[in-house]
Amino acid sequence: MTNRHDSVLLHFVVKVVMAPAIMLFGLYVLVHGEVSPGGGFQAGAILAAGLILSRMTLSSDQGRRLFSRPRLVVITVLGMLLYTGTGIAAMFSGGNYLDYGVIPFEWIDRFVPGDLGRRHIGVFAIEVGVTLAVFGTLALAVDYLAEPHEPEETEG
Amino acid sequence: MRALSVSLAIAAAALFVAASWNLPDRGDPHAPANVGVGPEYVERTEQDVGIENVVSAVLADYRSYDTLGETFVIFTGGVAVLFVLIRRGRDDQQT
Repeated sequence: MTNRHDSVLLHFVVKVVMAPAIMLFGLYVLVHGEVSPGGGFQAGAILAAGLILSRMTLSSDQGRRLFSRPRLVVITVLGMLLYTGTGIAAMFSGGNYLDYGVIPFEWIDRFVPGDLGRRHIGVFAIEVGVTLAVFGTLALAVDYLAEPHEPEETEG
Repeated sequence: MRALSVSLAIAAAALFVAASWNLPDRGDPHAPANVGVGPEYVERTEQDVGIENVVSAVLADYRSYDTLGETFVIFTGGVAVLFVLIRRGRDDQQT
């Protein structure tokens, strides 16, 4: 059980400035990863860092309703399913496994003609999958390390 | 003993410094790292994948099997950590 630090300054800085900025920067690293340095692994690590920081400083129940333990497991598995499902979708469309160019997204051809737009969507889909998997894994590991028992409020 | 370890550390540092003098310059087009398949990827990413970041293109498109494996490694590690920690929690409750 992490103890709550009773410092108004620390609470204010973490709650108002740092944790939202870190989570937002994680999302930026994810969606901008195809242009600038970044990508799924980094985005997942940064998102988990924001959650872990707020749990370490504010209280260990921070974000417990939104990211409960069963839901973190679901997030991790959903990330893996998104990655493998993108590959299997390419297989069902007649290409090789993880060959995004053949996935039929007709509506994306209106914006980017050819298979480049579909490749872009495929790359982004697996980046989102990696982000969810890394975020869920890191958050779960730190959650159980900090508190091996189940917290009293939530079940499961 | 202390003199021996200090002199060993200094010798190792001197070895590394001497080796670093022969490293190629940054961005040297004739460096061994830049004459293999690297330029091929840099040239073909724009028309093959269509995203600007070559690193992301290699990671997520050319080598997506590798990235899939990496993600499964992280996932498996998380599951293993989870099993170990859940058992520790139960054992603590019983005693």
